[in-house]
Amino acid sequence: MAATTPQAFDPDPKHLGLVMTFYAGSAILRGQVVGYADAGDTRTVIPAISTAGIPIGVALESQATTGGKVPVAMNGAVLTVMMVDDGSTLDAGHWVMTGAVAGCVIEWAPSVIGHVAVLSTGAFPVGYALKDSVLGTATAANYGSTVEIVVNTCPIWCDVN
Amino acid sequence: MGATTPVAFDPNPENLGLVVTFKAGTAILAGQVVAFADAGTDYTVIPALSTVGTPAGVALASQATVGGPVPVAMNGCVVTVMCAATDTSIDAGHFVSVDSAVPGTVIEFDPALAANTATTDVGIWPIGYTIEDTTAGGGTVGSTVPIVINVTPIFTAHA
Repeated sequence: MAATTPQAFDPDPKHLGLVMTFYAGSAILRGQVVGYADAGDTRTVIPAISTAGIPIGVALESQATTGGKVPVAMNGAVLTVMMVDDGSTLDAGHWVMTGAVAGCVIEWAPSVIGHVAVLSTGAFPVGYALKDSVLGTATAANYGSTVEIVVNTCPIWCDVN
Repeated sequence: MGATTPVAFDPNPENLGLVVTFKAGTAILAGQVVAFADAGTDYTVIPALSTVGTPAGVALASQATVGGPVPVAMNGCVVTVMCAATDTSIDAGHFVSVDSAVPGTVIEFDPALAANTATTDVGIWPIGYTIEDTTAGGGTVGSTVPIVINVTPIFTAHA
C-alpha cells in the first residue's frame, strides 16, 4: 500500500450543488478537497488536511498561483475524490473525512475528539460515498483509490471540558 | 463589548438554495436566524436562541404579525448574519451557532458535547460556517459575517 501523491484529476461532477469561487491560499490541484486554514482568511482555501482547518468542498480546477481564483463544488455536489493511498477501500454509504495527505480522504472515524475550546482544526466529515471505492495504482506517481461522494460537510464534536 | 440589539437588516443573499415560507410564531426581523420553538408547531418559526428549538435558517424579510408568512433561507444559502456582540470576532471557515442571549444572532460554535439528554430539541445548534472574517459592528449593531447555511444536529454525551 503506497501513500497517494497528490495530483490533479477530473472529479467528474455528476451533479453540482452550491459552487463558489474562492482564492487559493497555496497551490491547489483539481480534484483536491479544499478548506480554510486554521486561522482562516476571507474566501481563501488550501488543500484540506486533518491538521489544517475546515473542509468546504472539492476544487473543480487547478490553481498554481497563490491568490488566484478556484471554483469549489460545495454541499450538494456529487463528484469523485481521491483517497490517501492506492489500497484504500470504502463501502458505499460510508462517510469520508480529511486525512494526512493533502486534499485526499479516508473513512470517517466517528469518535469524538479531546476537548478543544474552538473548532478550527480536525478530521472533518466531507461527505458520504455513493459507490464502493475503486483501487488506485502503485506507480511512480502513486494514484490513490477514488470514490464518488455527495459533498456534505458538517462540524465535529469534542469531549466536555 | 456591547450586546447586539436585534435590528432588521439585509441578509444580502449571495446564493439561494432551499427557501421555504414559514409562519411567524412571534415578531421576526429580516436577517435573524429563526428556529422552531422547543415544542415546535407546523411550519412555525421564531427568532433563534439556544434556549428554544432547532434552527431552520435566516429570515429574508421581517414579519411583525404572528401567523404571518416569512421566507426563510435554509441549507445551501449564502447569507449574512449578525453576531451577538459588536466586537464578536470569528475567522473565516469556522462554524457558528445560535446564541444564548440575543435572539436571531450567532456566536462561534462550541464543539463540546452537552450533557446527555434523551431528545435534542433545544441547545447550541450549528447553523453553518463563515466564508469571510467578521466585520466589526458598532453602537448596538453586532458584527456581521456571511455564512453558508448548513444546519446539522447536535450530539450529547453518552448516558
